[in-house]
Amino acid sequence: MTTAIGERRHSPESSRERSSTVALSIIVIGLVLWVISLFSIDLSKVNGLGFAAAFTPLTWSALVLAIAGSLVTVYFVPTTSANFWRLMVGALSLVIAVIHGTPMVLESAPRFFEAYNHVGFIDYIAQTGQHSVELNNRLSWFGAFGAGATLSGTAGLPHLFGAIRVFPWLFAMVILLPVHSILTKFVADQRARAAALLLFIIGNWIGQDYFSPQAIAYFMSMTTVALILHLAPSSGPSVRRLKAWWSNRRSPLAPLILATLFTVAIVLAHQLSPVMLIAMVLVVVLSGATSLRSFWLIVVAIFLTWFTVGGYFFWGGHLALLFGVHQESNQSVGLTTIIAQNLTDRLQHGGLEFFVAIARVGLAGVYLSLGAWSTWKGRRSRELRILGVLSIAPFFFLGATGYGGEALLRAVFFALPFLSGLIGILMLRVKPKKMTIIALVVALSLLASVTEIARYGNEKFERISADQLSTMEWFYNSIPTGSRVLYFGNAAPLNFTKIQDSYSNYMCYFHFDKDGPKGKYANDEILRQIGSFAPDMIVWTPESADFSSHVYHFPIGWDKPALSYLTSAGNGVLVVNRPDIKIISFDPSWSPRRGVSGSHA
Amino acid sequence: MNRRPQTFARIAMVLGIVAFIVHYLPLSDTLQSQVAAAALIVMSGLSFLTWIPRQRIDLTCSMIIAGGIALPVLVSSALLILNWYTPDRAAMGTGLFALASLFSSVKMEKMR
Repeated sequence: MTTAIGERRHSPESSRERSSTVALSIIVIGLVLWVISLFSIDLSKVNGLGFAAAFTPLTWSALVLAIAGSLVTVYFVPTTSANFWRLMVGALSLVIAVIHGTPMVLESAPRFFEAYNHVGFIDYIAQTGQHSVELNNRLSWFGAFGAGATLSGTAGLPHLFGAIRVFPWLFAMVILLPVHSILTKFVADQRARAAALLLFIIGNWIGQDYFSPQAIAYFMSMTTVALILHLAPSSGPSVRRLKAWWSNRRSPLAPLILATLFTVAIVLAHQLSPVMLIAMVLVVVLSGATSLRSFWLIVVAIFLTWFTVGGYFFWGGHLALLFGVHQESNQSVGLTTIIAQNLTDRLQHGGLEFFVAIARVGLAGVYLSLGAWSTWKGRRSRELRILGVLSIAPFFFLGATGYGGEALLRAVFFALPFLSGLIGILMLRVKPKKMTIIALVVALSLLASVTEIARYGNEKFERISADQLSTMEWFYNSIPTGSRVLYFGNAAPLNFTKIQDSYSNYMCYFHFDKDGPKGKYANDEILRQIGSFAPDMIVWTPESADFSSHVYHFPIGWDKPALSYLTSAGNGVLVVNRPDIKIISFDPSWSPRRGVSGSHA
Repeated sequence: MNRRPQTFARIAMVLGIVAFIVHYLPLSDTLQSQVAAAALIVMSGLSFLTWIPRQRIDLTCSMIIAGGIALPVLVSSALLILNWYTPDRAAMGTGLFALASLFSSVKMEKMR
């Protein structure tokens, strides 16, 4: 069923060895430069552009050389040579190391505050054996957290801070396996597949691959698609010839059972991923690429069963969520508004934030446009048409997610493997002349630089210091059971242990009319809501306050008047008072006085 | 006869025994967790892989990793639903399910 695209005659033996040596040299020099550059990167230079601002010329050179090594391998090393994939793996590993490895190696504590919450869920399950949705409705999908507790907790309490650090790096490596496996069914040329893997890494700015159930579900979803394509293959007609399509059905038992088990695991692990799996399975079934004609019904049935029973706490009383309608400031927000917000809200920021937002939208646009162009050029090939449909299918399922802000990002993430395959084929249409390859190295290096900005720009609040982490460890080990803890925002290493022992709230979730606390009585309103919660402790970090401004539209500096009042005489007692973290303790009888406005204009 | 299931079953048994011994050795909790986790993931992955014919390396590795995650997810979820979860029980259950799957595939292969 595959079509050879871009296959070329092999080079003579000497030229073959020379190109392998050249590629190896480029990769090794790139690796050496990257390692040296790690000693000279100054993390204080990280700004709104993310790590790109702190990269030294050596780091950029390493990235360019990694891409050059990949392209020399793709275009000049014969695919018959055993060195082809060895070199490719080496080059791709270096690209991943520079893009994802640099932050992981240099930062004093692992980033991604959301991952700390996940560690908290794992710790809670390991300690209590419970999955109470009253604690957090994400525990309706406890599969991945349970597996985390099982895998990490067999020898005592979970040890997962190390896992948070290495996970994005590890994920970026291993996800290439199922992606490549899927592409082998649609792209015959090994060079195009190798190019596609490079494009997948370069295009992955989405940041959904941190230590999380969605990353695990993504891996299992891609493996499920690869499994049914390889073990229940079909080259029969598509559903347009219904009778012939149906008569070509086969249901080999082992693949069907294994794919079903994977589906159950995905459904138990994450709420949105099964919807994307349904989209992909539906395309491969209807296009006739697999003989498991009714497998999509099994996936839908398993998803609906768990969503109805296990996910009830997510949608019970909020039925509109199922149709992508959210409530914001007591008003219904529909799907089109959510998508518009995804795009336009991110473009409303100024300065570097605007640049990063443009980089993200631009990268997605470039990939989608090139994918569409490749599909159009190869429209006579059935495989390319299927790849084209696979790359847009996740977007049609946005409406069924009820997921708000991140839905569009996740659709792009699920489309990325197929878009990369399409663009890889397009790349192989380029004739391998020296100047063309140099131009491609420049273009892909620019693309990778933009990805570095799109991925880590605007994400300063994701950074966590080892001091903050150790302070929070001490905090959770010392607070009495049943304490009411209020945080200025959720961008901090929070709730990673003993989540069942305290009650948490976040100021970013306070209800204001619109656009956060603005106007003359803003500070009074914040204090009133703090008083309503009656906290025993309040935790402030600069990142958590910034995050509330960045995501929840609080004005810059909104936290200063409240912090000043809370720490003034007659109010809270500063237990920890450092520029990077403040912890304030309150007497049980404390409540804020009326009319203390330090209004925020 | 296809020897692959037998080989997988032997590897899984060795891994299980190693994990069990490491569990009771006076090592750091972190090391014990890592060894136990690695052993469980590979055992679970092999228990999925053993049911399919030999595949290319990319799908084989994907199956080991995805199976290595899926089986602990399934066993842990079942125990959580039954309100009978502890990490030890889930690890033991995962290991036993993996071995049962592997030895069933050996038996099936012998019956062919």
